[in-house]
Amino acid sequence: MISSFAKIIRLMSSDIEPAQLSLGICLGFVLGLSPAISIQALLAVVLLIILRANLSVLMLSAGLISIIAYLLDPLLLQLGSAVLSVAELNSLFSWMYNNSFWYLLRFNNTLNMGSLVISLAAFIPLFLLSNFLIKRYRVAIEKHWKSSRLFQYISQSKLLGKLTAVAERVS
Amino acid sequence: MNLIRTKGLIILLSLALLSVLTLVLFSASISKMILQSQLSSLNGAEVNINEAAVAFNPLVIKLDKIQVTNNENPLENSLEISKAVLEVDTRSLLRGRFIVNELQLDNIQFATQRMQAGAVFVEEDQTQEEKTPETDAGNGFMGASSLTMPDMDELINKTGLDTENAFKAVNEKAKQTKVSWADIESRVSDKNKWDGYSSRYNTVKTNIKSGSAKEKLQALKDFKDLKNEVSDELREIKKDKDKLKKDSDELNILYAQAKKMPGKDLQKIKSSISLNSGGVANISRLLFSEEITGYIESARNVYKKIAPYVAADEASEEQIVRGQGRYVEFKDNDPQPGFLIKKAGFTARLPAGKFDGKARYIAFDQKINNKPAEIKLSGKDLIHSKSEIMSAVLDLRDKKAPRFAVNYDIDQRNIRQYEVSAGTSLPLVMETAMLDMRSKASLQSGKLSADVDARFKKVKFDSTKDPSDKSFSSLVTAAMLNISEFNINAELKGTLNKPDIKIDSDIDNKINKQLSASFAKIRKDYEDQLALKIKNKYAADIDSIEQSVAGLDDLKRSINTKQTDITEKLNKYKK
Repeated sequence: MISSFAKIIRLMSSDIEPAQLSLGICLGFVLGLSPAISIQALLAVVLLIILRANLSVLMLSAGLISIIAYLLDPLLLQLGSAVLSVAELNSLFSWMYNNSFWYLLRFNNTLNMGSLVISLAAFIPLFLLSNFLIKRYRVAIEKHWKSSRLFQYISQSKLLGKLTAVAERVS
Repeated sequence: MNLIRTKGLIILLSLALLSVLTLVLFSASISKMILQSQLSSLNGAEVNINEAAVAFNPLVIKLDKIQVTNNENPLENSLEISKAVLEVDTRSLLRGRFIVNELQLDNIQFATQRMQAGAVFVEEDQTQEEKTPETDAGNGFMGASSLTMPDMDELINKTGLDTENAFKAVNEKAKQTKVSWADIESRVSDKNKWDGYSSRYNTVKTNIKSGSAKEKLQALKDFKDLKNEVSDELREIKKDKDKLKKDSDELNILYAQAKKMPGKDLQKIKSSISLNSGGVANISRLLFSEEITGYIESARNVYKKIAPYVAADEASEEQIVRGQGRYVEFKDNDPQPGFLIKKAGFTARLPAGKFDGKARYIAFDQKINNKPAEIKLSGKDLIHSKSEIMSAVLDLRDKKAPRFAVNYDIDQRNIRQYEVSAGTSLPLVMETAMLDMRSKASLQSGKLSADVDARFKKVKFDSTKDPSDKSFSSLVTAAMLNISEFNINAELKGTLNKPDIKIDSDIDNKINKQLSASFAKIRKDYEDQLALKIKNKYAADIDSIEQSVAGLDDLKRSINTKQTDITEKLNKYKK
């Protein structure tokens, strides 16, 4: 927990591009929300490999979101079921159902569909929001935070130094 | 800012390429692994595949030496296949369905030995199953376990014979007649009397010829007296003759009646005891029901293996498991069951010979493709028979009323040394026979219906029964040894666990005919002996009576002679 917190602080303060951090957050969100075998999970892994998304942030994000996703399961199931029942999309879904590729990706699973819809809907807004917040943090908060007495005390604290060293060794 | 990771792209492409290469290079191993796992799971015991080869487009899997462990005996294979070639529908495979367009299995063998014991995963159901009840072997066969004819002497003594009384009466009559005959004989044979009459006649004759008038008159008077006396004698003789005739006739009548009495007594004795075989009933059921029960047990074992797939799916409420979701079904353009073998060919090497087989639409979810599974197995020029054909249909389209039908035909199967009955009362072996059999059975919704028609020709039975044994079972055995052909028809109804078996055969009639003939001979021999015994019992009486009758005839002749002689003399006197 402490190492995660320390990591977040370090990343936020680092020179890593906000877009990379944001991408990590979004991809982590998708992976945390979706079942392992799903369209969005497969796509997220591909994007993870070919894009410069920050892996640490991704893992942190995925971990956090998966806990929330467990609680949101019933909502995702209802949403997926509702989408799969839309009459206008029936022909599309029938085509996908008869297509081996889409069939293998189990698009007709209510949980998959629910998490796909949320992932698609939330990806860009989350990316933009994360980006904005990281930039704001760096510009406004970081400077103020570093000049605060608490930050001075914590950064100079031997205990924090030791804990950070231990955490770094462990990670 | 460059978000794209070139290295990542290269890694991704490499991974993709690696996956494809792995699939291509290791497809055989992967297929082998998957198939072994799936088949083992299906079988409940280890299934081994020696080698596998995979070709793409079309997807063809070749397997070498498949060994299927027998659940009940892990050191044995229930099935071993030398080679299997499957053409699999790739598109269906991607959709999670295992559809085999064509399957060829070569050299199937059963009950082969394994080098190592195979693992068994599923314990056989140890619960006590209801055993097929013993079929009722029928009554009325061995009721008379020994054929004991009644003791003749005892029988004769017990039965009041009328012959005895008849001969007694005849003897009494003969005795009485003898006494009166003696009187008659003494009178007829009195020489002095007849000599006296002759002498008086001579004196009268002399006096009439050369005597004085007084002497002549006296002579005439004497002659008249003489004539009257002789006439009286003749009358007496006639009376005696008539009496003799009457006595003779009466004696003859009594004797004739007495001679008939032994025959009547024999009939009386015969009617007082039962000398019928009674016949046999259901010998065919006794001899062949065990064999049929064995076939039923085999059928039950086969059905036990397929029953889990035949059982109707119980409608259950779909449970939505957290983290797994629910699958929504859409219209399938090409609906197929999860597992289907469209067409299969196979060859099997059994102890009886080589069999060729074909199968179609092997699937357990037949509602989707709407076709029942069909299997046909045929063998020609087999070791023991000319041909054997088995065809079966498994119809699971309606799981609430599943149907399993089998036809099995045998042409000219040679039977050698088949133990029909091992019991000590009727040890019987069918040494040789030629069998033609037509059978069909169906099991629908748990109800069994089967019909077997078997024709045995060129039959030769043999038995270790002691030929000198005079028991009833020995007679039956002897009767069976004379049978050279017979038919059996068996009908089964009810359920597989409790079948009602009805066996009909013309062997019962044939045996009964043989038994009747054998028993008629035994009865005739017995009756002849009985007649002889009765006859011998009264032989002395018969001799005595015949002697008396012969004596009577002699007396009759003597009287006739005398009568003739006296009549001549009387006529001479009259002159």
